[in-house]
Amino acid sequence: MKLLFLGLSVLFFSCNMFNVAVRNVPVFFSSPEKVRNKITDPVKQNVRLSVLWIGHSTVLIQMDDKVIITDPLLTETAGELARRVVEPGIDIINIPQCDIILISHSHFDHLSLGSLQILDDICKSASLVFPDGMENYIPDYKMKMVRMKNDRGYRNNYTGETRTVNGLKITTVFAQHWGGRYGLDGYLWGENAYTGYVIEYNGLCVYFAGDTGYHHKRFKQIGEKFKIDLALIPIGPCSDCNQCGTYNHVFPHCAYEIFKDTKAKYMIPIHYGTLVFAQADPYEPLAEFLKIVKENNHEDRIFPLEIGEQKIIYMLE
Amino acid sequence: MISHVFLYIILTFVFVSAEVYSQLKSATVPVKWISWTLLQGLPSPGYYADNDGMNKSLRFTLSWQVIPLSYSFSSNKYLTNWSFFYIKPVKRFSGSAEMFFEPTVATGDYKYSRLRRFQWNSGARVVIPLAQRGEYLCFSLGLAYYNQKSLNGELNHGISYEAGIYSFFGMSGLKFNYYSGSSSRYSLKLYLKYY
Repeated sequence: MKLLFLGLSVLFFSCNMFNVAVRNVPVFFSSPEKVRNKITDPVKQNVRLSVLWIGHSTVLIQMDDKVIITDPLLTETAGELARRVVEPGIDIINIPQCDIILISHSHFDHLSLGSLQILDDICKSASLVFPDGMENYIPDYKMKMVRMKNDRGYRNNYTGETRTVNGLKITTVFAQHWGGRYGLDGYLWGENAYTGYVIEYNGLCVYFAGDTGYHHKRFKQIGEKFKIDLALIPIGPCSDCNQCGTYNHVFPHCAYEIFKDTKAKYMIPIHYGTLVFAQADPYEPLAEFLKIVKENNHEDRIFPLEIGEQKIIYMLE
Repeated sequence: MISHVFLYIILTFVFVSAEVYSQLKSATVPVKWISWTLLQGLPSPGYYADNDGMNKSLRFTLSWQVIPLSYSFSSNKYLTNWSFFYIKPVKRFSGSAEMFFEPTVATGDYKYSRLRRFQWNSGARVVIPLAQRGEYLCFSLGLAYYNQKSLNGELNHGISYEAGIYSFFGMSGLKFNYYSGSSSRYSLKLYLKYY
């Protein structure tokens, strides 16, 4: 009886990982879909603000002469069990020298040690920026490491701290998520290394939401404090996509609410279409989100991208 | 029986419900350390050779992985290189040297080699990363002293050599041991250790 109890407990403890593994079985034995016409020169002289979606939450942002990469996932798998359904939207050889690599939290689909190793060899002068507590999940790299405060999981405030890193002003801002990487550390031990970021440079302002649930007040506060040009907001994963979301994840409707609350001029949806999660089809969030965009006539402000597609927001006048 | 079911329901809520674990951001220090200590009780199953030169058999065993001291070669600037008992996975799999103590209990006496059920093994090993900074794959090489009494009370001890390969964040692996001078010279065990 005791053994049965122990076995069932272990089984339940690992059920989420088990679900991910089971859902990924067909994906694991098929190659990721190829991306056609990949961009080879993502950084352009005459561009002030542009975004290249590499997949999932990985975005290459050009802000004038600065290059930022968010949550780099350049490998074929995340956490060994989840395999990409579409290959990365840029060839590694074409990744430019970057100034900042932002990590929002320590989950496998956002913190890929192998991907950081790739960038460590390319971006020799980059700074790796991450929230307080994530130092427990990353080994040493040649890149300069910058740990930023996040109010211990944004218990009281909606901002963590502001720092100038490689010439860019970076502020850690509210996200509603959870930390940890190996199950119990996030579920039970209270690891809270997660954050969103606002990046400001030469009058441009980009908001990277990381991975977050919805909060009726905090995103409005972010919108009041910053004049955001572009917001990168997750819209999945979801299986019941007409709901707002869960405590930790926004679905399309509340992703749109975040866009409205933060008063961003433009938005690019992220965090879908790349990996198979236990609870969802990777493309389901986009279908629902497109309906919302159309209903609200925001096709001129919200730009869902294909993986590997680049959107130029501002050109040099 | 009822208390088991009750405890099981609570554990299910804790482990499975996103809403519940989100509320546990401010988990207390005792919760962390009690759960960690309980997890150290998770045994690593394995098989030992039971051999007297004429007859051969296998003994099912359970081992426990205790790492009193570890030195990481790849800690970032915010962490110390040293760890005591509680080993953050990244510090281990990304390259480390560690001292270990590994008690092992067989489910029955060694019929042919006439050894008692209990053995302990203590020494040092290095962990070397192979893929994704070791998080996907790493291996270890180690040297240890083993100690096991025979059924008539004589000491059976010597040097053991081990090689291991680990996946899933260095927390699970497969370890092969060779015991020099013992009549039961080989063992193949899983390595299971959470932090």
